[in-house]
This record gives sequence, C-alpha cells and structure tokens, in this order.
Amino acid sequence: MLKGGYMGKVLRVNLSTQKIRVEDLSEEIAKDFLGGAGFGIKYLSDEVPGNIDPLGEENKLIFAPGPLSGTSAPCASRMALTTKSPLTGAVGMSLSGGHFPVELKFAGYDILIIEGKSEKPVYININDDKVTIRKAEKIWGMDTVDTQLLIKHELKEQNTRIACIGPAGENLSKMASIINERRAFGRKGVGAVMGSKNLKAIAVRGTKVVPIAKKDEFNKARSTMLAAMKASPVLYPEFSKLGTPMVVDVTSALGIFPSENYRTTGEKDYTKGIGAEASEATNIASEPCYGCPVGCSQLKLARGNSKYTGALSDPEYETFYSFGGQTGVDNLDSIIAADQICDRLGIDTMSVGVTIGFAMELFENGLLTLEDTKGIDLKFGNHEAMVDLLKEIAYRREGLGALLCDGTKILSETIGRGSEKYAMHVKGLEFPAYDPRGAKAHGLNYATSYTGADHNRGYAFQEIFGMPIPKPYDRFTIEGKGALTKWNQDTRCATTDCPTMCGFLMDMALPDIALENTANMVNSVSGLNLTPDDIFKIGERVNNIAKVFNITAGFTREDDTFPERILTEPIKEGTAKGHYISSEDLNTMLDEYYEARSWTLEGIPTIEKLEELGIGYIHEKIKSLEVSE
Amino acid sequence: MIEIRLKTILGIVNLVGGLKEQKVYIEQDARVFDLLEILVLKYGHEFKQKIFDDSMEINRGIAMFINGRNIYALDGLKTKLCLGDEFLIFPPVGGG
Ligand code: SF4
Repeated sequence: MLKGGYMGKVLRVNLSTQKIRVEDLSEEIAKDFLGGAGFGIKYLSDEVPGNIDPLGEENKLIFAPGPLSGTSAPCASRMALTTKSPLTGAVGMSLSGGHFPVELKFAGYDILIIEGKSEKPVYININDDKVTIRKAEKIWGMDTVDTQLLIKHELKEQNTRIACIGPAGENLSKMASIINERRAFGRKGVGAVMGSKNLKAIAVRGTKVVPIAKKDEFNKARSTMLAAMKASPVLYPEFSKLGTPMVVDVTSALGIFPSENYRTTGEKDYTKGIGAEASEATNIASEPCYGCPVGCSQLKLARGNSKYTGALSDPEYETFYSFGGQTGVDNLDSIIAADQICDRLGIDTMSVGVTIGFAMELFENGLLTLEDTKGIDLKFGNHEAMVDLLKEIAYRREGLGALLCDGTKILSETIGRGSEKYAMHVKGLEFPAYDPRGAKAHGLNYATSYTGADHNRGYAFQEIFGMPIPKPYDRFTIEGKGALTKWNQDTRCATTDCPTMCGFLMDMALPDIALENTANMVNSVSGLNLTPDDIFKIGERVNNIAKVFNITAGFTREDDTFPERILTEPIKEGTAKGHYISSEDLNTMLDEYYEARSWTLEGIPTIEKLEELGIGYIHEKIKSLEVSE
Repeated sequence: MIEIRLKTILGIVNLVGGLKEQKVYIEQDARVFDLLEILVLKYGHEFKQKIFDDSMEINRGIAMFINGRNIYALDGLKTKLCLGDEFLIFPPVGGG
C-alpha cells in the first residue's frame, strides 16, 4: 500500500467510446518506475504496439507527474507526456513544468491516459472526481492563449489549469507542441497526436492534498536539498537572474554555439546581439514553476522601435539558438517575438527554428528558389522572413508553409538532391543548441537517446560546464564516452525524468548527490524504501524499455548516427576548430556504449540484461520480431 | 616570456578589467597555477575571491580550459601553458 506521494489512481479517457475509467496504480509499478517518464514509457510499452501510426487511433497520450509533484519538494512541478512521436516514430517523451502538472495530482491522479479518437473537436474537463468530455467546436481554430481564456470563461473557473494545442496541432504539424500557460510539452510533435484525436485541451482543477508518508524525514530531506541548492555556486547567484540564455556565452566561448545550420559554427560572434548581457537587459520579471524557489524563467519584453516592439515572452537558451545562431539571426527582439508566436500557435521553437535554418541553407545553395519561396529572400539572418514563416508553417499553408510543416527530416526527403547531408536531426528530431563536434559525449547522447537528438535525455555537463562529476572529461576525446553517456542517460532519467524534478537542478546544484537526494525525497514522501542504486536502476530500466519499443518501431544501429556534416566537416573556426566525429569514431563510441549497456553490437538489449532489470518479459517483443523477419 | 590569450565570460569579465579577451605574458614553461598567480597580482582581491576559497583551493564550479580542453582532464593546475595557448575561465554556469 502506497502511503504518500502517489494519489493511487490512473484516469483513463477513451475518446472513441467516450468511456472514462479510474484504475488503481500498482505499488509494483511505482517502485519500479517511480513516475513521470517511467510511468509513461511502461504504459506505452505495455499498451501501444511499436509499429502503429502515431497519428492513428491506436496511439495514446500518457500524462504523468511524479511522486514529488504537488508536495512542497522544490522544483517538482513537472510532468512527462509519453506517446509514440509522429516526428520520429520513436518514443516521444516530453516534459513540462508550470502549474498544470501539480493540478493533476491535486485532482487525485498519478497518470492520465488518453486513448482513441473523438469524431468531433472536444476537450476534457477534470474537476477532482468529476470528469467530462466537452464539445470544443467553438474553440477549435483558436490560438493557445485564447483557448485557455475561453475555457476558463466557459467553465466559470479561473483557477483551472489548462494544457492545449494551437493551430499547429490542429493542422497535424509534426512539430506541434502542447502549451500550458507559457510552458510547453514542446518537442517530438506531441501536439499533433492531440490534434489527431480531435482533442483541443485538457482542463484540470483539483482540491486534494498529496499525502506525505514520513513527514519528519521528508522535512529533513527537503532541508538538505534546499541547503544543497543554496550552496550551489550557480543556482541563485547567476541562474535565477539570467536563466538559461546565459549559456549562449558559454557555448560561444567553447566554440560550439551552432551557427547557420552548423555551416559556420565558431565563425561568428553572437554574444553581442543575443548574449547574456543583452538578454538580461530585456528581462522584466521571473516566472517560477509551482513551488520553485529559483524561478529561472525570465519574461522578456521587446522594447525599442521595430516591428517586434511589445512582444513579450520567455525564450530559453534553446530558442536563442534555434531563432538565433541556427538562422544566423542576432536580433534579440525578433527572437522574443518568434517565441511568443510559437507558443500561441503551439509549435516547438526548437524544431521549427532548425527547420527554417535548414531551409535558409537550401535557399542559399539554390535547392529552394525564389519561386519556391514566393519571392521571399530566405537568406541566413533574415529575421523578418523567419518570423513571418511561423504562421505559414503552423497553418500548413500552401507553398513554404506546407513544405516546412513536418520538420527537417521530411523537408530533406521532399527536396532530396543531397540535402540530407546537412539536415540536422537524429531519428527525425532536430538538433539542440550544442554542436556535437565539439562535445563528443553530448553528441553521442543525441545519437543514442531514445527520443532522437535530445540534449535533455543525457546532458553531458562534464563537457559543457566542465563539472568533474563523476570525474573530469576532455570534451574532444572519444575515450570513455560510451560509458559516460550511459551514466548520464540513466542518472538523468532516474533523478529528473521519473521523480519528476527539474533537470537544471541536477546539473547545477546536485550532481554529486543526485541519486541519494532522489532516494531520500522519494522514500520519505512515499514510504517506499529505495536505495540510490535502486534509483539508478530505474533509470536504466526505463532506458531499456524505451529501446525495446524503438526496436519494435523499426529502429536499428544505423539510426544511431549523425547527418553527414557532423561526420565529415570539421568546425572551421573558434575554440573547437578542426573537430568533428568521424564515422570510425562514432562506431568506436557506439560499440563502447552498447557494451556499457550490455546490449549486442547491433544495439539490442540482451535477455540477461532485461532479466537483471526485472523486465525479462519484454524480450518476447524483440524475439518475435526476429522470428517474423 | 611567452604570450597566451586569456578569455573570460559572464561574471569573470568585470574582474579582469572588463576584457573578454586579452594577452598575458608568462614565463616559458609556466603552468596554470603560475598564470593564476599573475592574474591575482594584477587584478587583486575580488578576482582572487571569485577563483579561490579561503584555503586557496579553486572554488566549486570554476572551470578552466586550455585550447578548449578542461584542464582537469589534463594535468589540472599543473598543466603547462605554451605560446599562443587560449586559456578560458568560466564562472560557475549551468542551464541549457
Ligand atoms: S529552476 Fe526554472 S525550470 Fe526549474 S523548476 Fe525552477 S523555474 Fe521551473
């Protein structure tokens, strides 16, 4: 019997049959998967076949906060959303902060599973035990801001928390996000899955209290965690003031702030236009997630006198890259405006910025002509074109909009003619803001993460911030990077994605005590009795299940790779000059990574490994695949 | 004497005369700790406090790179500096 942390209930809403069911959460699942991504991937693996169409009726949306969400644990208002990604075809797991995650707990649920497909547009309203499916024809077509306002108005409930899609999700853009307030389940096209189900929004209001199993122990663990956060040299002095955009200065100094679709990384200095100092000058307020004492997210206002004046948004570092370096733009106001427009349209700033940057290179190389762009001069640095294109893309408008609407991979497949060499994605997911040629473990994580090129599934803070945990690493070498990547992926999954806690904490404040801290917090809140080793194993277990899912979805070792640019073109200037990841180096790192994971050289989890992790039963799935071949 | 390039970012810049990049002259065969000593002499208490704790250990989170390589993955404070090297100091950073 779970004594705290968990509400003990799984809410299942079937949009085809309109049936709503409440199931019990098993203690076994809580113990083996913790919550968040762990719950999502476990249910996805059990209930959704790997080979289905992600935009078909069979796909599911699995929303799961963690056991700490809704308690006074700092920085735990996070929720994982797991589905089969339409952008990648692999596991699509996306995390969001804000207030929506804790509200689901307050309503009494640890997991919300949405299945089937509604014939007409609807939204789901959860008010504690009362769950209804309501018509959404009137709000279909609205942006995410108006959608949230209108639902609150219709329900006469200003305190309801809403996650919804905008036009991009409705138009099934494979880059569509799901927005709650100003926060996003941003990546992997999760908004298109919602759109495919004709589900416009989920509104949640709850009045329950998340029970704490061992109050004294919880208070102690919480104080220890807060003290470690306070002692962090970064968290309060810098990060709470500057937020993630300060990383522009860091990666620029390291020569890995990507520029012009990775064509000119290291050659241009973006710090003057969009670096920490310029960024800080636009800050007007911080917007903390529920219960977060740090409040890193900074609301920025475009002042000055330009077409962007008055734009207000909270772009993160990744957006400074996707609408900055990647597109050759160093106009901060245009980045704020683009971020705001993306949130309203419900489209991922990262994927769409990378796709626009890719289109700019296609244009400069003559693979997209002025005729294709209907006269738009789509050169790098053209921020006006960048901002104007967003609407075209979200509405899948004829011409460039439709061409770019499904992301970089599909764009390169449509254009062909060798463009895949510089289509910057892995498994369909666009690159994040670190040129992997100058940070090899960070890069190996892009190649092997179960979600595609996803920095947050195994962030190599050893390479980016020089942190010596578990030991110092040279970012340019490949030795030991397979084992390090496994360690980063399993630790990240176990200490942030499953419990669910903010990832920034682990990298900046608690990397040396992350596993212990997670065990103490989770045990005291839930009454479970997990050791730091058990916690680490949870991360490993979840990564293995996700891998098996991806194998059943058709992925092989060949997919754990980079676009040719990374494998053959060295960075030309800056601190990382001369570095790249040759095919040979990639293969060496992959062999080491698979070995560290006890997978075969083809990257297939062995029965022994799966049994060791207590999930031997899923081996059946890859066995049957072998037989059917 | 040989010339190296000192690069700093964020909160360190103002502690070294507001320069993101500058030339520094050091003895042939000088090591990282020699360079830090020169910088402490030149920039004084505030710089020293940012980099060192009371027992003269490097503060947690301060990162240093020679030509982009983490000095702790080389010889740490004993790493030798060569003519033309780029020496980069970070204050504690994170995020992304
Ligand atoms: S540190 Fe930032 S992202 Fe993390 S919980 Fe706090 S406000 Fe949210």
